[in-house]
Amino acid sequence: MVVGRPLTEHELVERARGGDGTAYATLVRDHEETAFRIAYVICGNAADAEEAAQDAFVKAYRALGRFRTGEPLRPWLLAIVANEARNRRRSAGRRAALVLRAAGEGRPSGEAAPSPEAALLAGERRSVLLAGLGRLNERDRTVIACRYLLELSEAETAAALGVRPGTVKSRLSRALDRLREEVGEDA
Amino acid sequence: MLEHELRELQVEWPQTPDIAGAVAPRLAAPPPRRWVLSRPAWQLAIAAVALVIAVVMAIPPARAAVLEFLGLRGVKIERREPQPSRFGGRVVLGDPVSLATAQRRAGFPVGVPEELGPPDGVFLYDHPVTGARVDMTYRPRPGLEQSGTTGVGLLLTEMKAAATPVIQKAVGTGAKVEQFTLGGDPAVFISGRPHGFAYTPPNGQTQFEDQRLAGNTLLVDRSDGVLLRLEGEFGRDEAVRIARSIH
Repeated sequence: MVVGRPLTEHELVERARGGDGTAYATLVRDHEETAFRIAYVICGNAADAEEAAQDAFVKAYRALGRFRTGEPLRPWLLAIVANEARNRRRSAGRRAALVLRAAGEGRPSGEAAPSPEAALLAGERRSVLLAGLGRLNERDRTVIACRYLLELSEAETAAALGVRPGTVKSRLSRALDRLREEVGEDA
Repeated sequence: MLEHELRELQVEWPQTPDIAGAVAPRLAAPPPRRWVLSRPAWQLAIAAVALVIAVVMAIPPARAAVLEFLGLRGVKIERREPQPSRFGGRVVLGDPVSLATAQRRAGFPVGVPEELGPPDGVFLYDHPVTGARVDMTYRPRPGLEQSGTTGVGLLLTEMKAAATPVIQKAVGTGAKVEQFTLGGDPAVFISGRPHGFAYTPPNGQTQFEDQRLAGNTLLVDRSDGVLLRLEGEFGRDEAVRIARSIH
């Protein structure tokens, strides 16, 4: 069949519901990076995150009949992924701190190269923040990671946390307070 | 300031694995279709009336939480007027399966009421978050009247009780809620006016507009971890008798 334009998400969902695995694979590819990163933040390691994301996408496929046509797919998928990651974390019983590293070139675009001292200071600050984030409990670091690192909307963050959208703001504010404490700043 | 710094952070994420490639071979079967019970048209009228009542009788939030927990794991009950459903109040079931398949795949012991014998329909829904749920239907028969809300004589649901509410109910002022124990297990019987009933969907956010109207219902949180739900046009004693015969 000749298709003149990329299929919309809605069309892909409809095809996947009819048993079209290729259509579903396209949907998975669109969302796998965010899904994997959320699972990584929750599980704390890449191996568990990979398995959680895989299992979640298989479960989501089987549950597609219940997905409400016309609603955005991403929050629905992320809810299933985050839940699977949480289950895996619970059953693994491990509580290792999350390790996040800052990427090398993190300076805002358009600025001149910073002096070596400034770069070092900025780099230290990034490391301190990420280390502090890694020490927060799963709930706090997930809400911060969703909103700021992954730049998800409030609705998507709510889905990943399994809470109503109205509670994201208060959760986030409490999590930021705890992060300030972790990095030694006054709230 | 902190928020700004966090937004500017560039994180070196671990490389995203090929999840789509790994998932594809695991999708052998097409996604199952959902089965729904048909519902008489007059019930839509009830739903419309319920909307009017809900608007007129706005209940103060302080009172809404009164019935929140009645000691049943996996069930949350709120004293508020039911809202009409976006789904038109359909009873959504899982895949039609044989009783043997349901018993094999449920992951908990699936019992059948001895006094009614094998069910006319068995449906398995593998909820991606809360686990398997088995719905059994019995056609109307003498002593088991047709229900105005489900269209069948008895809708029996069995699932694993969870710490977090899976079933949510909105019980309006016209409905009666009786709390008691059944063989030592906590139980609740809701009767009188239809009440709102909803399962928690995969995203964990049950909204009360996603509910359907349910008829008389008995809920039992059994000590073996199985949550029973019986819905039909019966009184408390009859519902209890059926629940007791489930083995």
